[in-house]
Amino acid sequence: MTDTSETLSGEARLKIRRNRFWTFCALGFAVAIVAGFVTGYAADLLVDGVLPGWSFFLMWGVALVSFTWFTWSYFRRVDELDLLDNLWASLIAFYFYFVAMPSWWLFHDLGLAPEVDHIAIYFATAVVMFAAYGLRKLGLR
Amino acid sequence: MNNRLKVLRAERDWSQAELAGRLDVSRQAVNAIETGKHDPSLPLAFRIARLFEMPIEGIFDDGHE
Repeated sequence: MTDTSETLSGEARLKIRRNRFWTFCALGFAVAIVAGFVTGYAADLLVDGVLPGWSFFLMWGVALVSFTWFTWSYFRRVDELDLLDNLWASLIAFYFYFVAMPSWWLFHDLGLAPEVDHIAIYFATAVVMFAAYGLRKLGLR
Repeated sequence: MNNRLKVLRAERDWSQAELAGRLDVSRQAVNAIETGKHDPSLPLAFRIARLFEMPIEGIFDDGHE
């Protein structure tokens, strides 16, 4: 097969690059949704005793390996600017967590707040990360 | 860091997308470099220099003599 990458214009190459990237993301998203449905159904079978106990660890392992592979592959596909945007968003989110969790715990210790809700902090951290990433994508670097 | 990327691109009548495709980066990356919001890595700076057939210091200027 002849490599046509040198004969294509830059705009055509960018279009191919973009299409491949979004196809990869769409496939990853679709697989994640299907996996979510399958594991949800399997969890019911597990609780009912239809599936053996070890199948839980198998599903968890497959999900973990798949997520790791997708993330690794994703960061090989993005360019250095997007990689930086991701790293900054992750760092900002980590700092948010690093401050939010002990602050809440301190306020709870002083009787000023209810017990620390780790799920709430988990989702808030994710929101901060996506917001930071989005702002950088909008050009606020 | 200042750079002449926009001028060099205009001289060749290339769009940002055209340059991005030739450098294998996103159009946003080209825009961020042109506007000084992102300093390219050394490998990307070399790719840019090779593409325009110029030395790196002929494209990028860090303000030092």
